[in-house]
Amino acid sequence: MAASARFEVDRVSVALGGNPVLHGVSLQIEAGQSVAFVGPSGAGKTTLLRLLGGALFPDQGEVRIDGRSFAAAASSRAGLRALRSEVGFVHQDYALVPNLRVIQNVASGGFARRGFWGALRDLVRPSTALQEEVLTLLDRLGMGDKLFQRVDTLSGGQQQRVALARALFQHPRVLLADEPVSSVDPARARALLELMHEVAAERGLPLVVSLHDADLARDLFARIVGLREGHLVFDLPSAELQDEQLDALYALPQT
Amino acid sequence: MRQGLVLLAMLLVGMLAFLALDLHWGGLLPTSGGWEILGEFMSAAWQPALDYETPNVPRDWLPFTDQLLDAAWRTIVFAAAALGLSLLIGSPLGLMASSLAPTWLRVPSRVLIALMRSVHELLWAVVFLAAVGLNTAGAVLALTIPYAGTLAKIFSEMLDEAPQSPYRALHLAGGTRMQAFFAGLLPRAAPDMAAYAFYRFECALRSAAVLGFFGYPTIGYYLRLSFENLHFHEVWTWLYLLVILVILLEAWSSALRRRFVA
Repeated sequence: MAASARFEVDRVSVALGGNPVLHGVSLQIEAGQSVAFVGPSGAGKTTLLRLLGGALFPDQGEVRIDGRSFAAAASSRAGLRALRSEVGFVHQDYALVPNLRVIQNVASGGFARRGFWGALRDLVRPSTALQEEVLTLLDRLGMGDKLFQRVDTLSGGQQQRVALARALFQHPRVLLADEPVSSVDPARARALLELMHEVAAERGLPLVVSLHDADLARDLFARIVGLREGHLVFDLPSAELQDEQLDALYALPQT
Repeated sequence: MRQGLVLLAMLLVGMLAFLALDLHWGGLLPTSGGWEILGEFMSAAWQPALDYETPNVPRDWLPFTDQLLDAAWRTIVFAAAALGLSLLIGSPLGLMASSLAPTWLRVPSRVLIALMRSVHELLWAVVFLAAVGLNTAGAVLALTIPYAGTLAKIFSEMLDEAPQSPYRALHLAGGTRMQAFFAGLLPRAAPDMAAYAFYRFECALRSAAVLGFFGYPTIGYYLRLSFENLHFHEVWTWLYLLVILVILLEAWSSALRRRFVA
């Protein structure tokens, strides 16, 4: 199996709690591509990411990784887990356990490869091999000295890199991130997104990110997907994206 | 407006309860002989006994200070046995009653917990005393049933209140529910659960002491004998012993908290 995966979103519609969130959205993400979802709040960016990660199943249409759909995989728990484990997801709130150490949080990204007792052992008494593997990963992210630090002693930006390390430790075939820079300052936001690009490129992973900041998205991502009120408005290489299109995407509704 | 009405209704119910109980506040004032006993009892607080107040103790009794240590030890062992068993039963039951469990498991677990908690440990003790006589295992079980129920109820609430996002994230990353629970949810709730277990150990110490009133050789057994013989100085010694045990436990638990939580 290739390191990198190909996504197909095929005429997907979703309603959450009775409210339609996505309307017939289709797009393909090729292996190794970097894509940013932009659009105003409530456009459906997060929902689309959750569909790609298999956290949510569409009401209509299908989401496939290399031709295998989440909904079909869900017929067996193990099948769904295996497919989900191919998608690394960096959550907006990081979803880390603050009173555990960095190594424990990162190691828990690899649970899909471990049994129940193996996972417990990784938490309580990590093997030397595991420590070295996590350390190598943290070193790459500039966090090598934080291996045994408790997560709640780290800054927001550092916690974010722990969340990234956990997603990478999953050995994913695609990397997703939901508003990864919503809570850091602009300089750190750019640095973090560049780091995500680098590590995704090194591993040949597609990087798919939702961003409020369309200018940042245009600077750093080769392809921009614009969403508004659950509709796909444009899907363009960032070089071809016009300012007017962005203005229209974010325009306040006419009253 | 609505809060005001609820408050008014509660006050009204409280007043009706007082009327229904037909209280005689005058009865709280001791008689003249009562005053004397009360004064004797309170003044004995400053002079706890360091030896038996009468030489007429049963032959097989230990010297007073040894008796203190022996009773303290038995009280601790009693409480530890009951709490250990309660944790063994209450922890999985708490998980089964939390919202992580499927409905078919959660609902019967909650009913079971309610049943265990609805009868006080002293009533269970009376039941076991009637059923199996003065049997230590029976007394430990009497403590364990309501304690396990209470632990399970509080643990399930703590698990439900802990942030769920790491649990969901680990499950979404391909982990099983059990893996996600042990790595993502339990560590988050564990400090609170441990602190609560320590508090319940303190409760268990007091309950174990009181179980002595039924004849088990804990602090309460000697407390009752001293009381019945009007040996108030001994009574205070036993009370102080119980206080010391609780303080020592508190010191130990806060030392552990400092080490593991802070």
